[in-house]
Amino acid sequence: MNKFPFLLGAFLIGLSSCSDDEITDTTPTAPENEKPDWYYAGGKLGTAYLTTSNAYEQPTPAVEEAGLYQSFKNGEALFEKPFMSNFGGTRHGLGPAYIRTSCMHCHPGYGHGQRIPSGSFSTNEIGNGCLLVVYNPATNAYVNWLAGMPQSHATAPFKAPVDESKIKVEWLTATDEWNNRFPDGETYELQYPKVTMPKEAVYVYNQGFD
Amino acid sequence: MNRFIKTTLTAACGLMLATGFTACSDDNEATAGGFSTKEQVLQAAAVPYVDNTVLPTYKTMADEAIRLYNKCLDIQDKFSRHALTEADIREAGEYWKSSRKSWELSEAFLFGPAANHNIDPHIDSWPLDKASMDALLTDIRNGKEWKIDNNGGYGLLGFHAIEYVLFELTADENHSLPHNPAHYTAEELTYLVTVAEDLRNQCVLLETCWAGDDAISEEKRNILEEAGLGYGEQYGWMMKNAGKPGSTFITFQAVAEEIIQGCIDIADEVGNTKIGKPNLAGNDEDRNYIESPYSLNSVEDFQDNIRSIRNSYCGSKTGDASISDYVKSVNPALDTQIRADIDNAIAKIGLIPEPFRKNATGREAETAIGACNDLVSTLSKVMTELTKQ
Repeated sequence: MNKFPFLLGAFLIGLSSCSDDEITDTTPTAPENEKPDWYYAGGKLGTAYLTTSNAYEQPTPAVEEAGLYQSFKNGEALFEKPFMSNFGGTRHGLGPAYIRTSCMHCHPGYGHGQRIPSGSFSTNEIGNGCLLVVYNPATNAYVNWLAGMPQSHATAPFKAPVDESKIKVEWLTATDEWNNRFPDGETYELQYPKVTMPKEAVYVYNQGFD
Repeated sequence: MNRFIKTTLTAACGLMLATGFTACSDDNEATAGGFSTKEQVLQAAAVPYVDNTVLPTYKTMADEAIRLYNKCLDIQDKFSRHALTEADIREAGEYWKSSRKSWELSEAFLFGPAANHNIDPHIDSWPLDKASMDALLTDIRNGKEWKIDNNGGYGLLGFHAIEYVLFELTADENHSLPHNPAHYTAEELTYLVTVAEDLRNQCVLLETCWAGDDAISEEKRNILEEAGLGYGEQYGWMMKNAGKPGSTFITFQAVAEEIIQGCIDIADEVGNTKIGKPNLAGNDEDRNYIESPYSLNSVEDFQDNIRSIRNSYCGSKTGDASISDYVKSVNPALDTQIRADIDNAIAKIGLIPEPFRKNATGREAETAIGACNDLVSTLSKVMTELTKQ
């Protein structure tokens, strides 16, 4: 038997198998030298080297190098902490009507909001990033006396134009033109929210205005 | 093929095969389980971090919050029978302080469930929204039923809302006393009991999210069931089992980075926000940026924040494996520096006299800010050390 081809094949396999296949941490180290433009996934100003859960909340090296660290931290506090309806003091001035008490409420983790569960349209807790709008289907325009973004909270003695506790969200399933099935046979589920706002949720209606 | 070439190539193949097989080893000194030495050391640190630092801290916080709620119920009952005394208020205040101390000792690990489930802003938003609270008390007095479901927002909840009801300052604002029991109204105590119940629920929830449903007491499981709270989570397990299915952590290096980032965040917040803002006092809003204004506990709170860093980095019990072990093995000077900076920050903060509001612009506060910033800087070097390949 001619063993040479066998040895050559084994040799080639040996060459290709000499790689480190252990999973190691792939966190990139902070660059010590200038990197090519393509390296900066977020652009030079917006690229950081953290992989922690709150990486989006940290300043990038570009911010620190520009001497803007404290400004960044001040902005972070303004974004994250709730405002109060007090007339003075820290983060005062909420009201007379408002939608949420902090930027974080709609943008938890500095993202775009979370899915809201079925039930009342609640905005007291952080996470509900949905914007409620009321529009006239005949004209496609906002109902302007409720404002483009109906304010569901108010500070005393004012009253909120809408009572969000009466607004209900229900998730319904939908079927698409492919019958919710991929070509390989795997199925999927589609959902959409159905939002119901009765007249009783509107303050002026409860005051006798139709 | 030429016999010489064939023989030479055959020998070369054999040699390459031999060296190839022996060269397929981990350059990072793989030992048991395929983990690098670095991963093994950090894995060893993750276990006592969860079991000896995080879980006991949250357990104490929840236990004391349960005692606080029960005492608030007792206060409400005694008030209705005209039997309320200052000793009752003082006792509730001690439970508040004890639960709060654990919270401050947890602020180096505000990642995970405290952040993901918004428990941090739920129980620790400040200042108290007093304008809303006054309006709420009027509504309660006029018959409004106020439950947690319609709470009205974080400004009405948590530690600082309870602090306002249980403590009051002397006229010169230099000392904190138990709230005068003769000055309570029924609606204030309705508010107190509701907020204390909510705080209890959230503290128990936080402990459970780290420990798992099976690792808490039956009393706590009943509390969560009645409140309709729970996420079926076991964050502590995820940290101790990086790389396994079900864990969000791919490596123990990622676990260590999360821990150190938590330390950086609180060191920075103490230095540049909690102390820094009232110290700079550019305007009235900054001057009054005091987190615990009624219990006058600020200085100890800040120290406990830094102790939280020490527990996270060095371990809580003698002999605990910790991230310090790894840093010491690769950069002993850095480990020595970080330990010194932690102790220095605690010491310098401790020199700020209470009440903090009146001493926030003093030299002691400025020195403490510097110590905290030094700690942030050194912790950042620890992070860099961790991310080295």
